Amino acid sequence: MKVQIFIMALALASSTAHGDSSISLLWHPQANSYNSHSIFHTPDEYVAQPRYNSQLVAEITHYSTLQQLDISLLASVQQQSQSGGSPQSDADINELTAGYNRGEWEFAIGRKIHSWGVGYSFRPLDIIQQTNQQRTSRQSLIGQDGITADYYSDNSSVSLLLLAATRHNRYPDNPTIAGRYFITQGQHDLQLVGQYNHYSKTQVGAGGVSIINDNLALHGSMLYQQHYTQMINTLAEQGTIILSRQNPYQPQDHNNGIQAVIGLSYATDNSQSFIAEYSYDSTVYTQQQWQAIYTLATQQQALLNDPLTPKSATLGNIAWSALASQYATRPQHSLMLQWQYEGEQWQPRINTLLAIEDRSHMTTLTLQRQFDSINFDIGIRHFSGKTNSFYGESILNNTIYATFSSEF
Amino acid sequence: MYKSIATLILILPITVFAASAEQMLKKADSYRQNADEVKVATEIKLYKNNQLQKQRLYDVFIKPNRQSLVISRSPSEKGQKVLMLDDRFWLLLPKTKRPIRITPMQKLLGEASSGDVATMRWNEDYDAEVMSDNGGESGTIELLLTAKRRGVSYKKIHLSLDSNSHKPLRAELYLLSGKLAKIATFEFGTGNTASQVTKMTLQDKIKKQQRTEIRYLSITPYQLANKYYNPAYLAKNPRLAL
Repeated sequence: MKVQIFIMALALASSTAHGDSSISLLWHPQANSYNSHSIFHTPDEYVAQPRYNSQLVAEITHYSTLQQLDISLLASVQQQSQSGGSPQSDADINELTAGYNRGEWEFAIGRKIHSWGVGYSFRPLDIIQQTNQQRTSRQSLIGQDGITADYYSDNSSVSLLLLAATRHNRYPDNPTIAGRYFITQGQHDLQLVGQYNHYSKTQVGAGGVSIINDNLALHGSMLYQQHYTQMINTLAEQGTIILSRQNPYQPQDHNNGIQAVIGLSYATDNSQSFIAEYSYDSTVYTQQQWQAIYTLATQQQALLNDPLTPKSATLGNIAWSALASQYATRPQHSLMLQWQYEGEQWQPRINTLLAIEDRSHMTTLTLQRQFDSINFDIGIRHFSGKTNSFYGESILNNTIYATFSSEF
Repeated sequence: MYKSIATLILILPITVFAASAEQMLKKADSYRQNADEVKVATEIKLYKNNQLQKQRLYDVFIKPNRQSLVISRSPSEKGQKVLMLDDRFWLLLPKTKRPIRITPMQKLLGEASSGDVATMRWNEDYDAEVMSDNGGESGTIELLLTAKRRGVSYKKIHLSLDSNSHKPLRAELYLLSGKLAKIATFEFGTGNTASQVTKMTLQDKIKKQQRTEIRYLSITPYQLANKYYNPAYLAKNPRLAL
């Protein structure tokens, strides 16, 4: 059905006489090796650990004017395949909006991608939809359904959003209102964002970028969340029982969350650039919570040697413990360091994400090259750290990947 | 009183000479951009050791007060834009949906810097003074251009002009560090385009095997609405029907 939607989108784009259409293709093969010493390690049947996987994505964009309406479409179809599994296809309408302009105002209804954040490793101000900044491929997000009104002056803009309670949206059961004010003044870009819905209550944030001199820019942003939810491993919390018959994670409500990022970027006249960025997130697990989960997983691993305990029950519980890294995708305190060189042909980049409290890190080396019609990236990512550390206990040990992308 | 008159007598020729340098620079600029608001279709070819490495197409929209919007038309960069408002710069990548504020130095990264593509007039950015005037029928005039604002790509430019027509012939482009970055040479069209620069060749003096040719395919008067020069608008509307 979804693939049919994509084909219909393709037909719509190609049949409209007036407008601008393009198709982009992306192929992202990846080879993985896993950390058999991780306390979260289980056989494949408990946590899938594909040696190879690949992603093939086609995206179509179309823009046209119908009567006085601006029609904008972004649709995608993708096929994911991995070793040991059959390929899976999916298609989506990432964006489809009808827009109307009146003076300095623009109104739109439909699905639209909203990206407001400031930052490289983490963007707290992406309150409408978050992008995982650590992903290695670059396909588009799926937008949020709603109505938007935007006002543009010479150096500022105001955006007002009413997002519907649809299953595609971040808050599928709650309509959301949100707003953003952006202003560029001299060497400073500033923005204020806010959001309210019945579930997450009020979220307000501010951020900006300042150009200090020809080489140096500073950026930062901070978000306050009146209410947020953490998925808590109840076994790790109580500390005595180490196996459960059902998934031990339960949502736990919290108030007054803070997410913040501050950083600098520096470029030299010999084609090098550096970025350093510190981020803080009080809504993810604390170091103590992580240690409790590590202790639980270590105890569960030890139980594998107990002949009286069914191995499958223990392995299933270790797999549940491993879910922690999906519920909390970053440590509370992180430091990102990046170096990049704009070479004549290749652009090498080294990026390290350091978990400050346990000194573990995820390091990615990328080589980029742009041909006439193809962009090519090849990269290797390595996770490292001592026992009971955020990246040291990652199930994934190394990933080698490539991305080929082009647009027509 | 006599002292003031003497000072005036000393300063006057210099001032007249400086004004003349500004006029020559304006005239030289007019061979590249002959209207205030234009759309320039540009083709860039990057050569390394005389082998063509890359070819790119850009549409450049230019407004007065140093406002430029560079839109990439090549497949590998399609939808990518650089917005320049005075000494402020933003990079807009189609999939990020947010404007990325960049420093003047970041703007220079890449083989053909955005500044080279988007800047068609030097008189708005540089003070000019005459370094030497060889005059005569086949002579040249050497101008020294010194940046009068922050954010420009080059701190100094040594510009050679034809002494009669003030057509630009050659320019040495120096970075903020004082390093000679590139040498530009200019080609003119024939017939209707005889008074128009149709190609600027930039010989890289840092990456010495590298040469960039910027060919101006068309330069047409074009009024682009103000909202296109707002970074928030460009980020929200990555596909512009221009």
